[in-house]
Amino acid sequence: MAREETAAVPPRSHWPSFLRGGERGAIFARLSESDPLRLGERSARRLRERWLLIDPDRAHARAVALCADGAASEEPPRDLAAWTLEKIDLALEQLLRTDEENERNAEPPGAEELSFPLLTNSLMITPEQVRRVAVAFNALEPLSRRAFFELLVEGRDVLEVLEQGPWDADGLHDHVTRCLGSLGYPVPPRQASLNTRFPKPRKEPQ
Amino acid sequence: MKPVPEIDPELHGLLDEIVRDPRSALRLTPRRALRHWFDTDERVGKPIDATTAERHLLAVHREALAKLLLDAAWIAYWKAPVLSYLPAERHDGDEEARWNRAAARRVELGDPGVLLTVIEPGLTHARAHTLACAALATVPSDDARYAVATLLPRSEQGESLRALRSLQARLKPGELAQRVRNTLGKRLCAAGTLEEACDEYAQAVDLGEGYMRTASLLSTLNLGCFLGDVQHVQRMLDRAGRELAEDAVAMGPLLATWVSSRPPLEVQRARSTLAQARTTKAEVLQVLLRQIYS
Repeated sequence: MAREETAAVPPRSHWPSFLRGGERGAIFARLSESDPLRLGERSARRLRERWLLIDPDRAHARAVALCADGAASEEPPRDLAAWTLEKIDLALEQLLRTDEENERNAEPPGAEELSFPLLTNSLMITPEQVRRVAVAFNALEPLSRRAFFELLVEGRDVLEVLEQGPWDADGLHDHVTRCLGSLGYPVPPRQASLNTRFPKPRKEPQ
Repeated sequence: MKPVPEIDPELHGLLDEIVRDPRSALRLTPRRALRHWFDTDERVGKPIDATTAERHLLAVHREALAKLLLDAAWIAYWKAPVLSYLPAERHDGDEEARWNRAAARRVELGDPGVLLTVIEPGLTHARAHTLACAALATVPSDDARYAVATLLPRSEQGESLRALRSLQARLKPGELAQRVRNTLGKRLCAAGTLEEACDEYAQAVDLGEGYMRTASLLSTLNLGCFLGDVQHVQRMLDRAGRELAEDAVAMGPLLATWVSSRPPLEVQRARSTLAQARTTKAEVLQVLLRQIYS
């Protein structure tokens, strides 16, 4: 099936006009001005899909740089959308790694690392703590990050999150608690089971 | 004061029903207090300032250079692999040609002369460790740390083990952690500490899939046999099942070389240990080991 889908993508032998020209700086300017690859939207969506705390503007800027560099130094891809997603994922990996390295080496945060309005404005975390908090959060297991995103970022109803996730209420609580702890909001441990108060809804037969 | 408008009884009933139903769409409407930071419409087309552009382009440029140096290190290593189960001829032979094209393209773009110093003399095996060090110095990463530790010559066994252990201690479970544990197993085995090596291989098994899982499983099985640990061999055979027979067979000749270097009494013990274990799931591995010990 996957092979058939790949075969259906027409072979691309040249870059689209906005990625041509060979010079990284010029391609970067073009991509950041009109965003023909919709990197801003796609980067933000990817952050939500992978449940990562990285400032979306920063992810966007890195994805633009990677696409500009790739267009200047690589062969045109067969599938431009897949190539773009690959670059966005690479941008996120690079940022995660850089933050983790800088945090480990206690490097003073740069201007870009101080600015993350989600953390500084919504959660009132001081700019100096932004990188430490984001690194701690992003190092958590994916299921914990998913619980935090669905319940607190997406603002979904707890019953919906319970129904769609692999957890019961106790598990969901523990995942969210872990995330809040990484953000500097320690929550007292659960004293009793929440499963009676929030029973896991059964999925309706399709 | 205006009179309170009367609500249509039908609408009133509907609203009442919606409010009482905990699954109703109205109650499930997402709250958007935090979500708007990850919404996107307002960001489309937003220009990025020059400082940010320069910073990100520079970062990307360094990352690309580091990747090329790391790729070069592994290509150089595969010209004469040491302590590897994977025969060199099974490695992708076109990789060097692709690397040369990519490096030449970056040189044309005006990337630093460091690439020329790699391209011109060619990727010789002796330069593998130096290239890995250059990659690590360009952009620190766990992949580069792993290469630096792994590509150290056998004469620097102690340093390699120290670096691998330090990396392993802080890695999360995953493919890199599996490679690190497997390499630790190889180094410890080469140093003659079979029990420790057997344990590292065993811990590597479930950290990932594919060839590395097969290699780790077969290695810990082999060492378990040589150590006479029937329970361990049985446990490992029970965990088998997702291994590719082709990968296991490819490892055979290198494993046979190692076995042939052991004293006959040890090989006899390995044979006897293997004979005591029972499996219906890992017959390929068992038959392969039986052949190697015969």
